[in-house]
Amino acid sequence: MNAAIAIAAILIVLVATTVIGFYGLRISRTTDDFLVASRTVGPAWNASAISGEYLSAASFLGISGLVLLSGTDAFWFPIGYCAGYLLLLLFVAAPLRRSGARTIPDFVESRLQSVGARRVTSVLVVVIGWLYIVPQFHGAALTVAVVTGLPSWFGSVAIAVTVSVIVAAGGMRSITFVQAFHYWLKLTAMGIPVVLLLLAATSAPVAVDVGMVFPAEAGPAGQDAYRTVSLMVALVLGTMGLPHVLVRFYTNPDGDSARRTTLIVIVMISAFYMLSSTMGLLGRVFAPDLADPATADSVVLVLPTRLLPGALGEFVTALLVAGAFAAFVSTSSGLVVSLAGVVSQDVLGGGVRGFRIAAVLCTVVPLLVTFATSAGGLLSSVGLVFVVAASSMSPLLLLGVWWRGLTASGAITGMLVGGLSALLALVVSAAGLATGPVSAAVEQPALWSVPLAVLTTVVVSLLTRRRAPLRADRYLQRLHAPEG
Amino acid sequence: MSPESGPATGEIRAIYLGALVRAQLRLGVLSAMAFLVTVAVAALLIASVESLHSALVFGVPWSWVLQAYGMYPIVVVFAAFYVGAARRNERRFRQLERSG
Repeated sequence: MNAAIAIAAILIVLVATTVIGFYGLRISRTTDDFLVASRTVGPAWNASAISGEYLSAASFLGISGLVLLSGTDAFWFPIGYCAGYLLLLLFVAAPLRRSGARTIPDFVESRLQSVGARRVTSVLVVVIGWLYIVPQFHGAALTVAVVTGLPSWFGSVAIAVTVSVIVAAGGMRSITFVQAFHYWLKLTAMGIPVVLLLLAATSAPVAVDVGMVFPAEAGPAGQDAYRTVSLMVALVLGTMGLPHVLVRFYTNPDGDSARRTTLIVIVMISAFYMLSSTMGLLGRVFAPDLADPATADSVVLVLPTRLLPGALGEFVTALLVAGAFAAFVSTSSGLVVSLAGVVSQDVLGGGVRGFRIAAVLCTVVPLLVTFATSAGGLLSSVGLVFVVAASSMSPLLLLGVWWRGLTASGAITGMLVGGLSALLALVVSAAGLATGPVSAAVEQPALWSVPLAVLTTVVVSLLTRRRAPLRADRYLQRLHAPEG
Repeated sequence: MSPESGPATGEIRAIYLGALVRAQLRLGVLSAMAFLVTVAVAALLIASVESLHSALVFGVPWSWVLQAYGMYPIVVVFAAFYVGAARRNERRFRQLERSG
């Protein structure tokens, strides 16, 4: 691989991102501009931005990597990411837009009239966000090492600097432009290579032993039912609990447009996931030698030079590198914006200056964590974040929007019980302490940790129902009343 | 129009709104359950029908292809149906609100 072309592709993406970020700067003036783009972004723009932000390192590199490594059970990840938006649409998209809150902690505080519940939510939001940024940085490190031969820390630092500069300078409005641009960049950067690779594969067919490449035990018949169902619970419920996802819905002008935006998002990310899954199938045919946990995530970057001649192969690789960097930058900048919003309001007293300091802080911490940890499979590490988000945030949001009996004590206990039991299970599983029949329950805890969180929230809320917020009825009705 | 009808206010509006909230919740829960059943049935069929694994399309077993691409159209159809139905619920509420 020609390192110069790859480095040029990376630089073009980072520079273009910064330029679009600064173009947006000229129209962001107030704190409101910084945080929610003044709620005037139309559905198509907003949907491109949401999709751009959502398609992360896991979607760009991880899906094909895991398809190569383990087979069809990898397809459940993108299906879950996509169905997560369906659940968000069915239960929280319009109501949360109408709540008028700017961040999840804002919503919790105004719904429950409790600063304590707000603080606990803020801490969890920041932890989830940081955990989610780390795989993005790992993805950048992997890409740089594979395609340029430069030391891998180069990649994560380049992303971190770009992200903190754009976010600190422009806030949400410029991020909206950046993200929307990134969606189309990622779709193109995955779509053109997939078409060219499919053409190359069909014009010079190789003899494929179907039983070797697509064995039945790696196919749908070989999937473990408990693990699949538990993973789906985590992904589907976790989506609404991700800090950078909900903040986007506040930028819709009203509840109905929030729903239309979600529908467009579902179509947009589905298109991308189908392309990305195709890469995984191609990888199984043409790159079975990469089927090892250490190399599988690089399969997207390696395929073009194997199938396409000389310069074309290098051009296509550069395109994929550009798309991958767009994925790292857009997801991490979206996360940093929402985390900086939370940290600046809760710790630094709000305001534009506090937001800027918080943005830098929220980039540096995950960067340090990246240096301290080694890259696991990108798709699985992102999956863990969904488990924690599903077990802590989703019961709170669902019950907060639909059940007037929710109290601050119920919300806090539920969040802590759900979030901590999920984290504990994941730590036990990572340390290799669980064996035998419980290992599946510990590796994929969502199927029990989410119901546990819901049950705790409901029981504690009922026990403390005398302290339920006043006028909860009125508040809930406002969430569901159509505007104008 | 009868003389006493007009825009709904106060308590009456709250009653209509309560009905809207229940209708939206019912719609959400029913859609989620129907989606769950559809996906579960599709997944079981893909995993268990033997001929889907032996028959190939472009050299790939049908079961792999359906698992890779088949679920997204289901999600899109449910989402599109829900957006329309939720909007109809709100339109009905607005009409009631206006006529009192």
